[in-house]
Amino acid sequence: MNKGLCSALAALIFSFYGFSALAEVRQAQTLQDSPLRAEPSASAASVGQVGKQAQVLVLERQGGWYQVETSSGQRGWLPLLSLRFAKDAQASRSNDLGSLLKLGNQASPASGVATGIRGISDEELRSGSANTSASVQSLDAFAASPSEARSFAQQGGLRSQNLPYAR
Amino acid sequence: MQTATLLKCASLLGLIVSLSACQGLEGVQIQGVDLGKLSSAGQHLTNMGQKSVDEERVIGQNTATILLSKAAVLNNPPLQAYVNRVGLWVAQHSERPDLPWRFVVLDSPQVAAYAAPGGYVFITSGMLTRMNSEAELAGVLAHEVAHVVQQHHLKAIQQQAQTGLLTDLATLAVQAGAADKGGSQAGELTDRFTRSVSDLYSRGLDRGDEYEADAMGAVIATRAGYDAYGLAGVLQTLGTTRQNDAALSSFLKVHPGIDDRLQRLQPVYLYIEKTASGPTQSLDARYQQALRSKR
Repeated sequence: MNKGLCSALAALIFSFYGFSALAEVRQAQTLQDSPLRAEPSASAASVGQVGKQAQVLVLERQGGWYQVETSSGQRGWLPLLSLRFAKDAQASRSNDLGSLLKLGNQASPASGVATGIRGISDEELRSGSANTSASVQSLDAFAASPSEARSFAQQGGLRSQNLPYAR
Repeated sequence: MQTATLLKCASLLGLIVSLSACQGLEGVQIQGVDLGKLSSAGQHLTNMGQKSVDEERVIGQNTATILLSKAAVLNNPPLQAYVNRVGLWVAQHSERPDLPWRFVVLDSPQVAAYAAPGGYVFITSGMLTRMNSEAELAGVLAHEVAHVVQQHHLKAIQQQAQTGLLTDLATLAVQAGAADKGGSQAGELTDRFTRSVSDLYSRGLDRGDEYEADAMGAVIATRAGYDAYGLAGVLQTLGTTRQNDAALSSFLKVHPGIDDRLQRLQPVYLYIEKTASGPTQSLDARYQQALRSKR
């Protein structure tokens, strides 16, 4: 097997959208002075003012808004894009595609199986041993049909809307 | 005039090279695609910009095959089906709704998502556990769908190939796949292909491609009825990673910073808030239920 070819090809062609680990960290910092809103809306009443680089605790997200608690204990809503989360104290996992690809050959995930924000671990997502030699054709078994996707969307109350790309 | 003639000669030479290279593949079927047909279709191509959907698919299939030989598919059919439903619903709101879209959950604690030409989208189980809602999943899948719609990877390879590799990319991809399976088709051409691909990898996708996929992804997810901020919510979590992490810094070398991406999304979200009018869903409960499904 041409290992160099494999890793280079896969590394190149695959869209690299590597996400770092999301930990339980809910501490965030404000990027700018912002009014604290009573509701997740720009037109909601202001219940206070939060300065630039203020530390806040993020409680919840609703659309483009985070519900936060300030250091003085005041609660309100700030725009999602006006905040940046504090850096994770926990070491992140590698985003290196090479190490992702090697995982399939590892004997076991060993220690420190990651647990997500809802307390579900990678381990718990499995219902048995992983399929290590799946073929491209085998992916067809999971594919959805357009009608399945439609009724799935209906069940969730998802409604299509026309929206051109931003120009 | 002279240039045109030169180009003709060059592409003819490329065809000759490609035809001689694929002799051993005539009549061979790989992954349901008749290579003989494909190579004769290739003869009508005068440049790399005219890739047919079939060829794109073959390149994608071979890429997917290589990845699947390295990373395991998560053994959780209901979860795979769930991700495919979300993914297809999202993809149907893109400009390429009719591609044979395939969404795959990889069994890996890594946090990553990838796309390959022709409609393949991969997401790791590690990433799924770190998201909160179906809207976040939809946002990430929509970003990957946008890469496929815009053929970012295909174009990047073509661009690289044009600088001296005037031959049929699909044939090369097939040969690379055959070589990977222990076949005897590996030769100078596949080596050259490998080198081209390696060069491109060290360079990474253009930042512009990532920004574009972000902007399009937010819109596509909104079209599908999802909370537009799903993508931004997930990107925010990226910002929680320590910058001094060695793996992350190598990642950042070829990818735009998260702050930069969020900043560039700001006008997109302003636009969406102003323009989109329909009700949107976050579907937290359905997402968490899907994560807990077994067998």
